[in-house]
Formats: sequence, structure tokens, C-alpha cells
Amino acid sequence: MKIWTVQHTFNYPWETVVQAAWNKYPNPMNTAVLGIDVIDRQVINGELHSHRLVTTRWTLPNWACALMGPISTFYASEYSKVNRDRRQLKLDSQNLSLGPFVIVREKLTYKPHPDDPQKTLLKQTAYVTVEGLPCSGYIENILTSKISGNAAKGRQAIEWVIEKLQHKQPL
Amino acid sequence: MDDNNSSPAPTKVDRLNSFHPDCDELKQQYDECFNVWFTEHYMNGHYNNEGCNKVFELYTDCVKRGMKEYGLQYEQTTASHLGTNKEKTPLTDTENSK
Repeated sequence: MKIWTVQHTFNYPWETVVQAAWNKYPNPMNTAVLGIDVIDRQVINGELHSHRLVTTRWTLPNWACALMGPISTFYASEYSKVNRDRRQLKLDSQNLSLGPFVIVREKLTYKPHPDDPQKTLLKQTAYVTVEGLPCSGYIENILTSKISGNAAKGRQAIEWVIEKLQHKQPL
Repeated sequence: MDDNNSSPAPTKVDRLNSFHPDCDELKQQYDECFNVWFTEHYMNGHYNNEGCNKVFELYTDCVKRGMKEYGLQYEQTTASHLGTNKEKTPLTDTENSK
């Protein structure tokens, strides 16, 4: 298993970043995300729990084509919790497609920066496990590198959405 | 997770479609309702979301039907996350929420 982690500070308060996170897609940076559907959602003790289905389209590397055939649409399950009182958003997602050979699990936490509550700290961790395939370690490295690149695009996307929202309506 | 390099960036698209065409109209109605509720109510501490309940039920029923049709198991999606109580505990801890 490969574990990859990163932290990033947004120069916006948590409330602004969370609203952008809900409106993150579509954006020009992450064009692979085709759809996000809500499977279930409820407020429990003031926490907003959401369970969503994320639909993505990938360009498959050759090793995956050999394994999966010409499939290009992939699904992931995402579970999230917003706690407004604690100013915390947690997301936890895992692929449904490609399992059980490939498991990509990503966890994100958005909360106020401990040194400046007007800024937001994002902590992102990905766990990549490839099993039962030849060259598992090599594939784990490729996937981890892709996740790192897409995470950077994801952060740019949040900034892009914030600017878009602020032009539409002052938050 | 990877971008489809063969597609141009959808800069003019400002909403996502549903994964299942049958659910798309309900998704747009629900998303619109949810976004207003989240910004104007939830973020101001008003947690009641009855106004979106009707369209929420119709939409999520459609999503679950669509998942079944596409062979995506609802149980599979719940089991893969936060599957153990050990993992659930820190996220559901609300003792510091006031």
C-alpha cells in the first residue's frame, strides 16, 4: 500500500471554502468528473451526512486496458460530513470500479487553520492498494502520482469556484 | 480521477448530469433546492430540510434504481466506507459541537 498526504492552506474562511467544495464540479481543471449523485443524505445532531456516487471517465493506461477491457467510466462512493458548529468538512471516498484489484481511498478534511481562523486548512490523504496484479508496486506508484497531480488540480478548482461564486454573489 | 485528454475542457458547462439519464431532471431540481437550503439555512444553523424532502425521495429512488440497473450495488457503496465502528467514532463524535 502506498500512502500519500498533503496539506494546503486556502486564504478564505472555512464557510467560503465549504460552499465552493459543494459546487466544485464541473470545473475546467478536473474534467474527468462527469457526474455526482446523491444516494443518501440526512442531518444527524446538526451534522450533514451525505453519501454520493461519483462518476468519472478516465483515459486508461495500457495495463488497465489489458485487465479491464475498453471500459472508460468508473464509479466511486463518497461519504461526507459537515459539522457547522465545529467548522469541519470531512470526505472519504473509495473506488467501486476496478475492485478488488485496485483500491484507492481518499480522505479530505477542511477545517479552519489553527494559526488563522480566517484561513482554511485542507488535509488530504490517499491510500492506494493494488493486489493480485503483476507489477503491483509499479501500478501503485503510477496511481499515486496521478492522485497527486489531480489533487493539485482539485485545489486550483476550489480557488476557481470561489472566484466564480464571489462574482455571482458575495459570500 | 484522471482527466480524459481527448475531451475539451467543458468551460461552458455549469452543472453536472446525473450518472443515469432518467434521473437527470430530478437531480437538477434537487441540487437547486439543496444548494439554496445549504447556503441560506444549514450554514445559518437551521437544519430542517423538509422543503426538499419530496424531490429528494424521488431523486434518490431514481438513483438507487439506476445503480441497480448498472450493476452498482448500494450495499457495496455503504460497506466500503467507514465500515467499522472504530472508524466511525471520530467522525460521529459531536461532544464538542456546541
